[in-house]
Amino acid sequence: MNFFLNKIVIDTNILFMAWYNPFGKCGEVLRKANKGEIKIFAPDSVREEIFRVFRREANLMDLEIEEFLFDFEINWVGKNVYEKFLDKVKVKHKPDKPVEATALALNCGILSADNHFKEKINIDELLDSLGED
Amino acid sequence: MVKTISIPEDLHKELMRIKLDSNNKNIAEILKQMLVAYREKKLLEHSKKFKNILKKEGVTFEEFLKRAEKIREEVANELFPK
Repeated sequence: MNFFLNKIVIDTNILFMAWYNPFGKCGEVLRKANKGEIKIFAPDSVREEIFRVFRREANLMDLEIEEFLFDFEINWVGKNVYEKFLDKVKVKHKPDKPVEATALALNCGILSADNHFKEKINIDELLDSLGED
Repeated sequence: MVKTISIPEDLHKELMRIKLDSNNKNIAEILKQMLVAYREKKLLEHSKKFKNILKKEGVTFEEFLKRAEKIREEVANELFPK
C-alpha cells in the first residue's frame, strides 16, 4: 500500500516504544517530526489512554503527563473529526478503530506495531523515504 | 506571518555571531535548530523518566504494554459504547 508519507497517524505503542528506546526506529520517527520532516497525528483516544496508563501504572499527576506529551510534535485529533469514519474502518479490534478512522479522515497512513491493521506503513520504508540526516 | 520578540542586546549579538559563523540565512533558522536540539534533549529526558517508572513499578516493557492494552480497551468501551 502506498501512502503519502509526509503525514502519519500513530497509536500509543509507537510513543511508548520511542520513550523506551529513543535511539530505535520509533524514536527516529519522533525525531523526524520534531525537525518538521513529517507530521504526526493521533486521535484523542490515544491521548486519553496515555493519561490513564501513566495515572494508574505510575501514579503520575496530570501535569507530569502533560509534560511527557508537550515536548513532541503530535497533532491531537478530536472525535468530531474522525467520528463519521468509524463505521468505514476495516479493523475489527475496537480499540484500534479511532486510529484507522483518523487515518481515513486525514487521508494518510497508519504507523503501528499492532498486527490488527491490515494496511499500515512500514517503518523502514518510512524512514528510508525521509532519508538520513 | 512574522512576529517580533524582545531579547537582551548581548543575546542578539551572540545570535548574530552564530548566524555569521554557521552560514545560516537568518536567525529564525538558528532558533529552529535550537528548538530541535531542545526537543532531542527532552526526548532523552522523557525516556530516562519512562525507564525509571518501569523500574520503580517493577514491570518489564512487555508487561507495561500488556497493561496499556487493557486500558486501551477500557477507553474504547467508554468513548464508543456501541
